[in-house]
Amino acid sequence: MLFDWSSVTRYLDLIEQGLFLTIQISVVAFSGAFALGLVGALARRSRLLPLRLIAATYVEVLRNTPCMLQIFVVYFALPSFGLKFDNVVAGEIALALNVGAYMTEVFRAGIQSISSGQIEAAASLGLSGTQIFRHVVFPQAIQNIYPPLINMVTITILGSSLLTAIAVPELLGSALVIQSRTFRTIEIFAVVTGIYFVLTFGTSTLMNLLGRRLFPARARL
Amino acid sequence: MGPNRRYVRYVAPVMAAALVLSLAACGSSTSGTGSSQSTLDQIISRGTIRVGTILSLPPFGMKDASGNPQGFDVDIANDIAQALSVKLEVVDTTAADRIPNLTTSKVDLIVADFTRTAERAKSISFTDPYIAAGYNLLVKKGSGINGVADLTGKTVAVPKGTTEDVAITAANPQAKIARFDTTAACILAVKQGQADAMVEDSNVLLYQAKLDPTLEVSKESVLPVEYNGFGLRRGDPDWQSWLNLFLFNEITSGRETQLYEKWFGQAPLFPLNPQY
Repeated sequence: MLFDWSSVTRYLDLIEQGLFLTIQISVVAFSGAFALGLVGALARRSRLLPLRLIAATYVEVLRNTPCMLQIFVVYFALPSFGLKFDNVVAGEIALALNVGAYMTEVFRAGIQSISSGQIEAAASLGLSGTQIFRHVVFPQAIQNIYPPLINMVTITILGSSLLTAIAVPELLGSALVIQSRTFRTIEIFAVVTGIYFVLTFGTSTLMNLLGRRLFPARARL
Repeated sequence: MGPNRRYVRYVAPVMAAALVLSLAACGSSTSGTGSSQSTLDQIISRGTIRVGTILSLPPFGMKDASGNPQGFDVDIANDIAQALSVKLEVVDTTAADRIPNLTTSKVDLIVADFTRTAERAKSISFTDPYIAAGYNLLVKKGSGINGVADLTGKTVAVPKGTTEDVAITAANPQAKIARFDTTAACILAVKQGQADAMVEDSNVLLYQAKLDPTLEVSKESVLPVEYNGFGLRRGDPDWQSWLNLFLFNEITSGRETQLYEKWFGQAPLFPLNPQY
């Protein structure tokens, strides 16, 4: 079985562009998901019923439908309602919405796990609700949810590969284009698999090390 | 001394027999890959032909209301199966997967509006042409795009792994190319305004423009006429000559024209005239 690695080296610039786009999409989408997750978790725990209903609907709909379907809806269906996004933006929005639904539940679990004793103690010290959240609940919640958070980052990076269905030239899309030009399946897929692995494993390892820096007490457990 | 004698007497003959049996089984296996039998013989002995068709490219290949394959390519595949007296199994594929499906023996033949190019012929073999096509642009009515030159700065949708993908990139480097997985996705992109134009086989576009009055086909052909044939694995002259004979009969008897008129609603845009 002869491997023709030149078929990959000829298209290195395409792979590079795909990699940078994947990184860009992952960063933007995860930032959006983080923000959505935080807002969603607070909304779900709010005293106001309408807020709770909206948040619950958002979470349940987006967690119980396929991510690729959501991507198609944002890109192909929304223009019928006047909302037209270009493919990278549409992909980032869809990915942020999808991961944001999971992040909402992750944050909610993290916030709920903070013992009420902490909140009562803070309140008895005279801290306002917002201050309690900012200085007592949130830092501890982040510490609690840090491992699932890293998981969600991984899911976002790998989920960006779904965007090839709406013609986004990210890493997988570029690999498929190269494969369709050179007909060399094994070489290109081996290289791209390796790149995805290094990217994702590297990111999660770095985040783990960062976590040990930021949350030293947790690391020792 | 003891174990050696026991081994030679009982274990070795059993292992030798197993080895011989497995070699015999390999030799007579009808799996096909690596066997020197022609695909033609394998199909006849198996009783089924597996044909790869793109079922997202109307009217060459599509699914009817019950999900069964239908279309111009499917009808041609049916004619092939009948001529061989075997059953037809249609395998859905995408443009980019045609060659991998063939080289990994998932299908025996590709009948999927497959253009004959020198680059592709390095990996697989082609038969003589069974249909010819120009390439036009599908745009929204009144868009003002008539040809390749008008695509500067505009978004053009093409399916991945097609000849128009490569050709449009070269024809107008100032156009923004969006590569989708299927022709249907490209058409949807134009309908929803996500792309300004899409390039496809003029036969396909004829059909699409009839279905949707908001779309129109550009007058200028953007690429030279291309001849599409069947795809088969390399190194199979018997299968190739049978298919070429089948095609000669299919075209000269008028059956190909009859099928074209059935699916495209008019006489072939680029009639074929096989000679010998």
